[in-house]
Amino acid sequence: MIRRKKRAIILASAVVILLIASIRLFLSTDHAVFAHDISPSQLLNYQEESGTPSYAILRKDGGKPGAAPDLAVEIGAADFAAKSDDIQVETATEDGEHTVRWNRDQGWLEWDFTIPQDGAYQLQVDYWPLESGYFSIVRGLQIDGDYPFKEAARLSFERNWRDSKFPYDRNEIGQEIRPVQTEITGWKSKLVTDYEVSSEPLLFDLTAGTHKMRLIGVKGSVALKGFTWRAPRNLISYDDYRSANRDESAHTSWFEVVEAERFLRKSHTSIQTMPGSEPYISPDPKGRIVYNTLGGNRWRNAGEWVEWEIEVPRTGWYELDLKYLQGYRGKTTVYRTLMLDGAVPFREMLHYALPANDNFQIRSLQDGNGSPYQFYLTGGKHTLRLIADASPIQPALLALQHSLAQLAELEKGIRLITGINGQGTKATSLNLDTNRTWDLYRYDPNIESKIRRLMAEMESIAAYLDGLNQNKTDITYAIAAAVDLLQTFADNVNDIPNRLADFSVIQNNINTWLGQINDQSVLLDYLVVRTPGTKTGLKEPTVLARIPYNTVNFFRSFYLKYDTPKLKENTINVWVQRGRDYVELLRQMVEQDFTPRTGIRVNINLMPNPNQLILGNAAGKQPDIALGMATEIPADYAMRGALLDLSQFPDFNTVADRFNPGAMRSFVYNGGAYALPEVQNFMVMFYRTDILEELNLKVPDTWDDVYAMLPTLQENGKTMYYPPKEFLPFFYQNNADFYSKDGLRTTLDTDGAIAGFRQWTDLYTKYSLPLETPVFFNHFREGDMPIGIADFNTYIQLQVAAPEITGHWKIAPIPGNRQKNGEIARWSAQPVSAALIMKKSEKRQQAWEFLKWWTSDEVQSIYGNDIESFYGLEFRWNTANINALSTLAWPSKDLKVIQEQSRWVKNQPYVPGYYYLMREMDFAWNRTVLEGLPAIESLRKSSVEIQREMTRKQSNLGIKETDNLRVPAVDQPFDRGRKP
Amino acid sequence: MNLKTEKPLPSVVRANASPLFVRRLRQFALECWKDRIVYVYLAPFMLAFTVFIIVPVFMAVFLGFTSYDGFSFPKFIGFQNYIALLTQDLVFLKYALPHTFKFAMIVGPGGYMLAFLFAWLIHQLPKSLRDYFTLAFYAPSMAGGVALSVVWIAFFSGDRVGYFNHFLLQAGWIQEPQLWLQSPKYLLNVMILVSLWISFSVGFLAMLAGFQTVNTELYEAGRIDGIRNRLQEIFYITIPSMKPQMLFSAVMSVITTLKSGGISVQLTGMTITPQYAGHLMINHVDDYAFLRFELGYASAISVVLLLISYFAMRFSYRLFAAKEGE
Repeated sequence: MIRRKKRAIILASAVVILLIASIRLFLSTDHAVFAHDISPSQLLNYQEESGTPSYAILRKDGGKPGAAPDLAVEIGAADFAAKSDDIQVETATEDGEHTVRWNRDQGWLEWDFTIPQDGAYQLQVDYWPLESGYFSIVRGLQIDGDYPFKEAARLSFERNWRDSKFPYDRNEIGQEIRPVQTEITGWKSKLVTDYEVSSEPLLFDLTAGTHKMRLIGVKGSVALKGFTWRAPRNLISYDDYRSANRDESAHTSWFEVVEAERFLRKSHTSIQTMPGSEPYISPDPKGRIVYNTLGGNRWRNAGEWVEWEIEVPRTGWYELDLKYLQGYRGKTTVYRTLMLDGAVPFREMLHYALPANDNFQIRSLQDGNGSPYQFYLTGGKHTLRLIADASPIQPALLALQHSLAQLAELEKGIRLITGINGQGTKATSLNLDTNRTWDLYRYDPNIESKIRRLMAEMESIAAYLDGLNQNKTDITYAIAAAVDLLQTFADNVNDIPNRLADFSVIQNNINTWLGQINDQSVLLDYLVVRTPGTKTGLKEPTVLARIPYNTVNFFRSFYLKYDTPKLKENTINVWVQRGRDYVELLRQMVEQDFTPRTGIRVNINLMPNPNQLILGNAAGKQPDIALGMATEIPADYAMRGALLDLSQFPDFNTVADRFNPGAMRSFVYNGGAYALPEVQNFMVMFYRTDILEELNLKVPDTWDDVYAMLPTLQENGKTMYYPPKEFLPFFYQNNADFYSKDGLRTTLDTDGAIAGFRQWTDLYTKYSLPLETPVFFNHFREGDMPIGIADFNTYIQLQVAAPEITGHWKIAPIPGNRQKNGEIARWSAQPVSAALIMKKSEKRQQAWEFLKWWTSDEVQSIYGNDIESFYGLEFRWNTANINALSTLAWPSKDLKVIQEQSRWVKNQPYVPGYYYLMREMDFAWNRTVLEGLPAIESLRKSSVEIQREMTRKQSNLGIKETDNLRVPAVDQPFDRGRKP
Repeated sequence: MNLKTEKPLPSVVRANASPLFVRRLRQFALECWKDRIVYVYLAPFMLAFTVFIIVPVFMAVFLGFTSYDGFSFPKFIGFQNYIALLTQDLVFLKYALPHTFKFAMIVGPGGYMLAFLFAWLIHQLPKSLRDYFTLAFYAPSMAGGVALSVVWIAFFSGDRVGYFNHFLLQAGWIQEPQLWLQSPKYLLNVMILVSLWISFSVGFLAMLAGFQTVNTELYEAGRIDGIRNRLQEIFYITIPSMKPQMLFSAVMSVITTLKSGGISVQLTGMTITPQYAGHLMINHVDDYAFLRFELGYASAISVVLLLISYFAMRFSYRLFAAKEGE
């Protein structure tokens, strides 16, 4: 017994010692110091391949010195020397000044100007963004026929925005509602800057003499007044700033809190106020949704700025505190450049670093030793602007992209030597003989040293990033993993051909983080302006403070009301399956427009789960109207007699005319129409103009064109993307339908269907398109899939999150099969969300009024524009209403493509047993593509299964063999209402 | 006592022609009234049990005889659902039933034996360490779904960096990463493995407790009677002395095994697994109830599942229940 006890004590103490040791190990990594010994120019010490250089590389050694300080060359915008043919410009005279209005985003304008002296210049532009959406104006700038550096191809000129109302309105249960964003119009003057590459305005090296300057339209419409080439202003250091201003030493104790959400102006509508609920947050929400902070993930991109107004009582020195939370990307430091009254006060305020924290923290703007910077302010009002700045990251980003390019080069070299030309991860799809022994040194003696050099480069990039962040971050872990893989490559060079797929693993891993490396998210609660040394008494949240705070919140939840009050008479109930933000806006519009106009009151509630509609029905509780339902729901419910047939309303046809009949096809069952569409998704083909041009390929118009193009793509190690499980277009393009006209039998055994199925599976069996592509978007950016078919979400992603390929990609209608009459049938489905009326509703007429109002051109257009103004481009409301669609801010070229594609909308009809189609198509694809079963056999198997299920379902629903479900035919492209 | 005083009055009762069952009822009511305080104590549980267990089970049985789509009133169709299930439903017969059997045969007894084995091993540890090990083994079943998605999806991830693929590649046993969670070949086996991992639940704790209830004097007595090794000790002393815990554990393991179906959904992220590779009976119920809106048919399937679990439970009773005279 005693021995046992002894043993237990020894064991226990060993465990304790181990625990302490491991904890110490963990803590010690926290205190690790990462050296700052890698300079940006060291990272950029490589030769860029042909083409325009990057700004950072161009100026890594400083570049030309600035021109004489007082030099300024002015150009009147209206005095352009040349313009392109397709441009739409008009000149105007305002207050004696000549201006030029540049409508649309096409074409170019050119000016001549003379520079008196060699040197580096900055360019000031006076512009007025014309009303064309919520995004910034983008123009390219060429000097003497060339882009001086890469970034000049997309210079952005931002709009200014403010909240239309402050303080915010509250809804009837006391939650705050974000107001509409109002654009602050008017002339703006801006020194051309790109905060991704430099915190200071961009410098252009110009020689003395006459030059041509050309602006090229990329995005948005703009009016221009003039340009000024200026010599760069030299920023002083903090020490000089201190000595340059008179010191008024007597400070009285004074401070002022500036709420972050009470901003004056901002550059992008996507920068949004956020609700927060935690101790000491200001102002306290008291259990409600109150927008008391600003930014977070919505103030992320370099160049986005917010401006506040501060007022100080008397002239003198002041200090600035920020209460911020910054933990969106692990331990990554983010940067802000600070401007006072439109100018950076001293050099240290360029890309000022905000280290990561995991709680709100009140921190003075301070130097490396922790002593706060002081700002000299005259008594009165000032503006303070914080600009998201990613310029310190730029060298690492460029170097990493260069390393990845080299890696791709290495892979290409090995593929050339070994003749392995397949894609994917499988030996069979790679065309790889794993039993072969290689002697790569014979073909490329330098291969090992190449790999080792690449490893060294990547290690120094990681060291640079760790130096910036003073921590290891996700990307440096990814780099470490890549270096590890490269190490095994270097050690076993002859094994590389068997591990070719690892190259894309490295590329993918690093690219995953590379996409976020520029993110500069910070959440601000407030700013504090105070005289030096003033104690503000403001508190930071602690764990201890959270406990009582959350307890109070918990008890609040017992008496606070969360449901909007139930109104009774002349009120319809609407359940919406969308986010809260969508619902708030809808509620607002109903109150402002629908109720005053019709006298019908509307009770809107969220429905997080669509099954609620069924379960609620079983319990006898259900709404009059449900919005945001999935495409197949209306027909599914209609089969069970749960929905109101909308076609019985006398004015149904005029309402149905607002939508595409091909899209309406999903909502029709047995001759009745059971829903109206709200938003509509679409598929289009995306392609990289630069890569196709380089490979001398034309954009394919038919599938035959695609087949002709694929060998060239694949020879160059690229391929095309087609969503593997998307079967519908091939069947419809081969003039096959899935069901007979009476909707009782499947027609998958017809010749057309077999041809369609074969065409679909051939893409994978014969043309080796990738079977699995987790994220097409990334491959498209990298260029290894320079062409692909994807949906609306990819379009938005490319618009929002792929700035580096702006202007290098376009969309086109998806390829089709040429028909006998010469036309190319591009049939595809466009899933829609549904708005429907329940049959048990007692207020059918009122409900119908609501649906008519909601789907009308005007309402859809306002709603779409407003939601985008609140939350940015990501929230594009892709309305199904044809007229409203064109009022959203689409680039004109893209709108044309989308309209062409929407001529060819043909959604699948939903008949009893429809759900088996998707399931069986999936199985059939697996059987043919993965298991090699002949297409015809595989499809036949599925056809039998589907027919079985359909027959079973029909008898279940009491449908007789002689019935006719009248599946609507759509066999002509939709041309109504299109202007020729 | 009241009853006794009433006894002299039978003639009156007979005169009222009150039948026997009325008198019995009255007697029953009187007894209830006498013990009313007991019923008050019982009430909360009985109420909850009735509302949440008995009523739903009877509803399911009732719905199993109807055709019900969630909207219209259930239509009585007799045994149609059961007939269709046994004669028409190919997916049920070809996939759901055999998969459920294979799954249950391995995970049920396998998990049970593993639980017994590990409970026994832990029982051998010094008391101070026992709790930590118990917690470590019990944790997976507490974490459930979260741990599933985090640990196992990462482990069986189909790309090169998935732990399992990485290990096999490093060892040179496979040449290319396998799609463990997508491929019909492996999915069911992966599901079995993962289920074994989370099978250390209440039953495991019960067994652990059972080991501690065994009278240690019995071991000593056994040794005198000629038990030579640990195996004999377990077989002749431990198991017979902890039959109640063994029974409880067996019942729990039967039930958890038969009702696990969410696991395939969690692992693959699809409601219908490729080629029905991981289609268990619970998935079949889900398919009919929420994809096809045939709630009557779905109820019929769950009734069948209920019957299967009932018989499996009877079987466990047969094995472990204390017999007369023990």
